[in-house]
This record gives sequence, structure tokens and C-alpha cells, in this order.
Amino acid sequence: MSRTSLRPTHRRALRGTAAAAALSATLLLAACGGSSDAGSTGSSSDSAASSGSSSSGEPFKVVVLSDGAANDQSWSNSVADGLNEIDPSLDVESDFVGPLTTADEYQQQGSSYASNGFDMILITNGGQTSAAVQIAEQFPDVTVCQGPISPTEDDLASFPSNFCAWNLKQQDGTFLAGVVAGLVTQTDVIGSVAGGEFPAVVRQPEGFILGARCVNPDVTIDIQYTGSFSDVGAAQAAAQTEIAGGADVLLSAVDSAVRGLYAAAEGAPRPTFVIPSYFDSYEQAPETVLTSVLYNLNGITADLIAKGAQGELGDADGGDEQYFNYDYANLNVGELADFHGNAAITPEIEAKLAEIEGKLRDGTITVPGEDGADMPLSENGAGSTIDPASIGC
Amino acid sequence: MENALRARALPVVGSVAMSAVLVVLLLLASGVNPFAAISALAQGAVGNAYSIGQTLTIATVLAFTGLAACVPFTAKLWNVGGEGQLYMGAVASVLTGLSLPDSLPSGVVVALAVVAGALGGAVWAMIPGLLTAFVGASEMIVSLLLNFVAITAASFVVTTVVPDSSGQGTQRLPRDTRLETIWPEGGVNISLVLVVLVVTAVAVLWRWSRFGFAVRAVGLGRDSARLAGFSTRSVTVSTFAVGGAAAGLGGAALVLGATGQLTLGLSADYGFIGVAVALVAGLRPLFILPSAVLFAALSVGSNNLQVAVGLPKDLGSVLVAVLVLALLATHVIRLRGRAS
Amino acid sequence: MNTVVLATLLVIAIQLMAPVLWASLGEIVAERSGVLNIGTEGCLLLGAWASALVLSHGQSLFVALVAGIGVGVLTGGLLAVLYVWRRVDQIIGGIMVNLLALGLTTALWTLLRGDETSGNAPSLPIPLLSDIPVVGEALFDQNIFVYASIVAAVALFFVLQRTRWGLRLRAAGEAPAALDAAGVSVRRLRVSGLVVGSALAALGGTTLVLTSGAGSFVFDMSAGRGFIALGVVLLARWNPLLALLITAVFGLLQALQFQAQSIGWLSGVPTDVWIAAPYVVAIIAVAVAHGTRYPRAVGVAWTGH
Repeated sequence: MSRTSLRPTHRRALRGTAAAAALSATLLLAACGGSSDAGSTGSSSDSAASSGSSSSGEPFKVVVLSDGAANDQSWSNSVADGLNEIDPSLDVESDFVGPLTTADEYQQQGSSYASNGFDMILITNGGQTSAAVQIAEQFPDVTVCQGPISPTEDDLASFPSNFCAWNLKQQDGTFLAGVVAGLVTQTDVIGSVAGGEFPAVVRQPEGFILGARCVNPDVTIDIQYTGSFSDVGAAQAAAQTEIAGGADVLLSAVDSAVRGLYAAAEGAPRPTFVIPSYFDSYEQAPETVLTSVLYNLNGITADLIAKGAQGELGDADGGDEQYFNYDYANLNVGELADFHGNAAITPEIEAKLAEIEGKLRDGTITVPGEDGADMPLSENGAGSTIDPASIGC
Repeated sequence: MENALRARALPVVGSVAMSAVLVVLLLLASGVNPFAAISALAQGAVGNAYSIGQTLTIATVLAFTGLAACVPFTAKLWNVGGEGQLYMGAVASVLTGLSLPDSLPSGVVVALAVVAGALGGAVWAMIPGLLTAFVGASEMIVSLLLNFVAITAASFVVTTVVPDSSGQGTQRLPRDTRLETIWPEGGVNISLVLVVLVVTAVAVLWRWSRFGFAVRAVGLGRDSARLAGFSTRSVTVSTFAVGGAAAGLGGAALVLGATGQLTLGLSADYGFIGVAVALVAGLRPLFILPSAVLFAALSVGSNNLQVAVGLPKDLGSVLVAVLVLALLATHVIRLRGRAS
Repeated sequence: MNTVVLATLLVIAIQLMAPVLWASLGEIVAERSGVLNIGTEGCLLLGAWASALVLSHGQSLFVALVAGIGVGVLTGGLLAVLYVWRRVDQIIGGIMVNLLALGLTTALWTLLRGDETSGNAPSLPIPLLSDIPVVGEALFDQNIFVYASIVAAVALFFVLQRTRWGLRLRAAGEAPAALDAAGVSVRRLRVSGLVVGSALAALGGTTLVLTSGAGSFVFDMSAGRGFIALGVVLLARWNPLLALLITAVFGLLQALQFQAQSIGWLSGVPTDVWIAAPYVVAIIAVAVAHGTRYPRAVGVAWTGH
């Protein structure tokens, strides 16, 4: 291209600026609103940062990488809430990043934070072990924790010394939700809508039906896998199908797409309840939310970070503190949220629930794990085939 | 060659500068110091050995998907299925790597897994290629819709065929059957060399082979190409096959790299960004390499925005899109002959 | 298959149909005017985001509707700047607009989301008709956005066939030169096609939020509906009534997935096959309907006035 022919290009470029400006105006408006409102939502990083700077010395800096947004009113929301529950005497500064989807994104975020002087990276996505291990290998001075996973002995041996794995026992929580569902159902049919068909999800509906069968031998379940944690239309359609088949209590294992379950329950021909997971979602749909299954993800987050700040993570000093399995006994994992006075919960139901919960907590009833019993609970159909009497019901 | 470089490079630099001005205004409006943000972006992309390595690793994948768009686009065939072809390459690669017997030397396993990746992508891309060539389907729609089928197929392989204990990734390939690391500090593996070879091979093919000539002839005009004795059908099928093979190699590079497994979320829209890579390169094979580095730097660097200046990382993809749209709107990049 | 199963299938089918139908109608308008809008998925997502955002700040359904349409019109304006004025390549532009929409809605939903909650739009059963067995609930007990999508399909058919704007729009896609020779601005028609088309697609997002999302946004909630719409439009040969029929069939196909357990011979089919099914069917249909050609001038920027 000669010099003379560059000039019209240049003029075109100038005119193009106007076009680009129009495009940016939209973004600009959005960004303006964004910054003004960001403060009012009270991001956890701000509050944590300010508490950290109050004391002298270098704060312990930690970032949480998750698969949802900090205010998704589900899994990630509960994790992010934990950042406000860290013991203030520990001088921790924290940040939260989500939603992240691909292994590359976890790696790149992890390396960005590690390069910016962060001491710990907590990953709350069970599918990202490889990415997490890689970050740990690349940054040996940074502690990397990732879960929920159930590592084998071999896995644990192969992890680098600055890596820690965590898991949570979800079965107890969904089992209790099942107990409530088994007592509340008028039709003896319950349902569950789940996203992906992998162990950390499968164990939820299976624990749910097992709990229901513990108190109500006649109850059956319809479990639908939609293959998506964001497609509310599919979640709604699955829930409607279950409702049409008689289900009147539904457990959600679809994370944010639980909205579709509310939508289906609102339009149901008979009173139908939804039991969301991870976050007390009563205020999202007071008419339909019966209770929520809580795993104290906030407590787990705060606990892991506190351990990190106190230098208790990893097996550098020869300990086996590389794997943390949280359950009710050690951190209240697997509880039901308040019923908020729901009329469907009669005093008899509450009494029965308290009885079962007592047995669960004192070990009379043992909900099988993924590797216990004859049939691991993370296999399709396990919850419907295990004999309730065999686990202490 | 030098003139061509100047003709390509100068306007690109000009428009990148203009987009930068645009972005600076945006940042000022959102109350973020633009210099801090831009330096954060640069830090994130090339701040230390590992980030340089990440940029190069992603650039490798983007150069492969860039080729996947570039080759058919030159013949005016709209392959927007790079994402799906990448996934199918990854699937073929992982399945091959896992199913070959342990008795084979690890080098042979890696080589066969790479070849399988190319084949997987090529076969998948032949679907739109053949449907377009023989039944006249819209290659754009078919390749676009096949992305979703491929991603679902990959999810089936992950959760059902060869799941690991989490069920959210496939079983991992043993370390010695992954691509060899050539720069440990940056975590860069040999796929970087492979992509340079492949791009060079395509460039040579373009300039000196009958195939390259046929592709360009078809791109300039179907009827005249036919009169000149070129078969539009064979060009359609072969450009899709070559493009798909490139995208498949991108998938192989991802799964045979450091992690050694296929996970549910494998690609951060690399197949789609490849279209932009090809375009900024002006559909010239050799320019795909710098173009891929540019987009990789933006994409990797934007991960540093939240930690450094508190901007959400999703604005990274917004940044990429705004940049490309600004480049397109100012006519710095365009498809030759198409918009005139 | 009993009547309860059948009735449920139909209710779900119509519900799943509505957002795709809106997107398809939007795409029909855009393509009729000669612009290929690959950015439909992005329009849908932006519409959903805008509606959910105002709802989360306690605004009414009407405001949510206006917000959805408003964002659609803005997006259409942006697309018009790119495609009509700047003559940007429509395939690349569309892909970029989709990337932009996904990143922007994810970031800005997290930042701007309010605390108010709302439910779906109320369903409006039509007296008597909604009591018809099997089909009554599906066709006559839906919310206003679902009804509106069906009415819009019929209305658009007549607008394209009978009104001056409709005829000129089609000419802009088939024979822009002739239109130009007759002294009509091709550019202006295409701008109107993009603005109307994007607004219709954005309404698909609003419908999704208020029919399935209980009034809330979930990132990437459009889940490929805008891309399905591209296939639908091709199959429907730019006829809104055929688009209505085809999107209903697609809805039915998707609804079948959840009844598979109660229909014996379908029970062994893996979930992933169901998820891929609409795409596979669309691809096969596009291939089989090989007579289908885009309007002559689709995808080609107009360089005149």
C-alpha cells in the first residue's frame, strides 16, 4: 500500500471512531452504573481487606476461585459468605472470583493471584483438580486447596506438598431433606432435578430418596438429569414432568437453574414444594421453598482459610493434613434451613424429624458414603435399592 | 513481503491504538485508573515466566483454531464450527491416548494421539464440508450447530465413557504420554513447535501448491474457478478437512498438555476467537501466529484485571469483542472482496 | 401413553417453544431485510438480562417488558451501525456480538443485581377453552408472553405479506438494486429490519425469564436457543407460520426427554443424546431441505443508499 492510499483509510478510520464511540457509549453507561452499585452490594473483598489492613504486618492473602458468582444465591454465594466469617484476629485479606468455567481460566486466575503476592488459592469446583495441581506445582510457595473431591490413596501420594484437597459429606443433608419430603408428601411421590450426571451430583438425589424411604416405605422418586446448570427452561420442564407424575416435593441439584423449579412449583395443580441446596433460599420463593439443604460451605471456607493462615495446610512438615473431609460431626455439614413457619411442617413431622436427626448424629443411622455399603450412593438407583433397615432406620 | 507486512501491520497497530483509547475512556468512566488497568493487563500477559508461558500456550490453540477459520474462509466457505472441531479433536486424542496398550513406547502413543486429534477434527469438519458440497446445505449453519453436538458428545465421553473419580473429567493420561515440556518455567510444551510447523506448511501450500491456488481461485469466484478446471466440490471438502484437522490439533494440544485430561469445560470459546484471529491476520497463514499471540495476550492478561484493579474478569471477553468490532467497523480488517 | 402424559408434553412443548419462536421471528425479519444476524443468541441473552435486572430492583412486569424491548432496540441499533453503516462482515460481527453479550451480561448481572424477588408472569387461563382435555392447558393456560409469541407469528406473516413495509423488507433481501432503483432506501429498511428483529429476539429473553426463570437471570441461560433459531428460520423458509410449527415440534422433542422413563422404549437413551437431539434434527433438516437458499442478498452489505 502506498502512502497516498493510506489517507482515505485514515479518513475512514476517523469516521469509524464515531461508530466505535456509539458502541462504547452503551458500555460506558453500563460500566458507570456498575461501579456505583458495586459498592452497595458490599463485596466481601472490600470488607475483608479493610479488616486486614487494621492490624500491622503483612496480611495473609487468599483468593477463592469458584464456578458461580458471589451473589448467585447458591453454591458460590455460600462459599463467598464464608469470607466474612474468618476470625478477624488472623489478619486475612481475601478476594473472590467467579464464575469460572474452563481449566485455563482457573490456571490463569490462580497464577495472576499467586504472582500478585497471594498466599493461598482455594478452589471450590470439584472438576478442577488438574488445574489446581498445576498451579500448586508452578507456585510452590502458595498453598492451593481444591474440592470437593474424594482422592484415592494414590492421588494423595501424588499431590504436591503445598496442595490440599477437601470434601464434604452431602449425603446427611440430602438424607434429612428426604426425611422431611417423605413425611410431607401427600402423594408418596417425590422428585429431583439434577444438572450433570457425575458422582458429586448423583449422591444428592440418591441420599434424598433414601431419607424419604427411611420414614415412608411407600415413597418413590422421579430423578431427571438436564445436563445443564444454567438452562432454566430445561429445569422447569423436568420439574413439571415430575409434578405431572405426582411428585409434590422436589430436591434441586441444578445450582442456579433452581429458578426453573420454582417456576414449575408455582404453576403446579397441587401444593408443591422445592428444597434448594447450598443456600437458604426461602426469600427467593417463600411460597414454594420448604427448607434448604445447607452444607455450611461458608464454615468450610472460613475453616480452610484459617488453617491456611495458621500454616496448618499441606504435608510439608510430614503431617497428613492434606485432605479435609467435612461432615456434621466436625463442622455441621448437612443441615436443614429454618422452615420459616411453613404450615406443611406439623408438630408430628418436626418431632419425627428430630428423632431421625438424633439417630443420624449419634451414629444409629449411617448414610452410606461413596465407597461404603454394598452400593455406593453415587451410583444411579442406589437410594431406591438400599434397604433402609440396613442403615439403621 | 516487506510491503505486505507494512500494509497489514500499520493499520492494525493504528486500530489497536484507537481501541486502546476507547478502552481508556471506558475505564476512566468506571472509575478505574486506565494506566493501572493496562499495566495489569500487560503484567497478566507477560509479567512473569508462567504468564508468558500461558500466553504462548493459549496462542498455540488460537493459532490452530485461527487456521481452522482461515483455510475455508479463503475459499469463501464459512466454517464457524472450530469450537466443535476442537472438542472432537480433544475427544479423539484422549480416547486414543487412553486405549493404546502400555507396551507401546510413550513417544509413539503421544504421536498417535496427536494424529488422532487431527483426524477427529477433520472428520467432524467433513460433515459440513460434504453436506455443502453434495447437497448444498448452508455450511455456516451446519458447522455452527455441530458445535453444540460436539460439546455434548465430549460431555458424554467425560461423564460416561472414561470418567475419573470426580466424573467431571476423563481419566488422566500418564505424564510420559503427554506432550513434552520444552520450557518448564512457563509450562510450554512442544505443541508450540508443532503449530509453527503447521502454519508454515499451510503458508507454503498456499503459495506454491495447486491446492492453494485452487482454494484462492474458488474464493475469488466459483464459476471462473470451475471454468479454470478446479472442482469446487473437492475444494469445499478439502478446505473443511484441513481446517478441521487444525482445530482438532488445537484440542489435542489442550488435552495432551499439562493437565492430560478432557474436562467438561475445555475451551473458553477458543474456536470462536479463532475466527477473529484469522480475520486480524487478513486470512494470510503466516500472520496467524502474531495475531494469535495478540488475542492470547488479551485473554490471558484480562485474568489479572480483578486482582489488580477490581474489574470482573468477564470484561476480558468484552474487551476482545470490542477490539474486533472496532477493527471491523473502522475497516482495518475485512475479508478481501467480500464487503465491497 | 395416557392423557396426563400427553397433556404435560404439550404444555412443556409450548413453553419451550416461546423463547425460540421469538428469536426465530426476529431472525426472519432481519434476514428478510438482507442481514444475517448470527447475534440472535446475544440479543436473547441481553433481553433476559435487562428484564431480570429491572425486576430485581422491584420494577413491574411492564417495566421488565419495556426494558427487554429497549435493550433489543439498542442492540439492533448497534448492529445496524456495524452491518449497515460500517458494512462489517455479518458472520464475524455476529460471533463477536455473542461473545460480547455473554461477557457483559455475566459481569453486569453480578455487579448490578438487586435484592427484590419476583415470580413468573401469571398464567392467564382462557375461560372454557382451557378446560378442553389434553390440549386445553397447553394452548389456553399460558402467560401473556407465550400467547403473544403465537399472535406475533401470525401477525408477522401478514405484515410481511400484506404491508408496504413487509414487501419492501423482502425486496431489500431479494433484490436490493431494484428497490434502490425505485427510490427506496435499502439502508433504512435494513436498519428497521435489524431494530425490529433484535427487539423480537430480546423479547425471547424476557419470555424465558418470566416463563421459566421465575423472574431471575442465570448466566448463559439462553443455552443455545438463538442458534437453534438460525436453523429454524432456514427450515421455515422465512415464513413466520412455519416457524411457529417448527419451534413447536422442537419444543415437543425437548419435552419428550423428560417423559422418556414413562415411555418404555425411550428409557435407555442417555441424557446427552436428548440434549444434542434438537441440533442434530436441525442439521439433518437443513441438509435434507437442500432447496433452501438464503434470500439472494442476505449477508451482502449494501453499498448504495
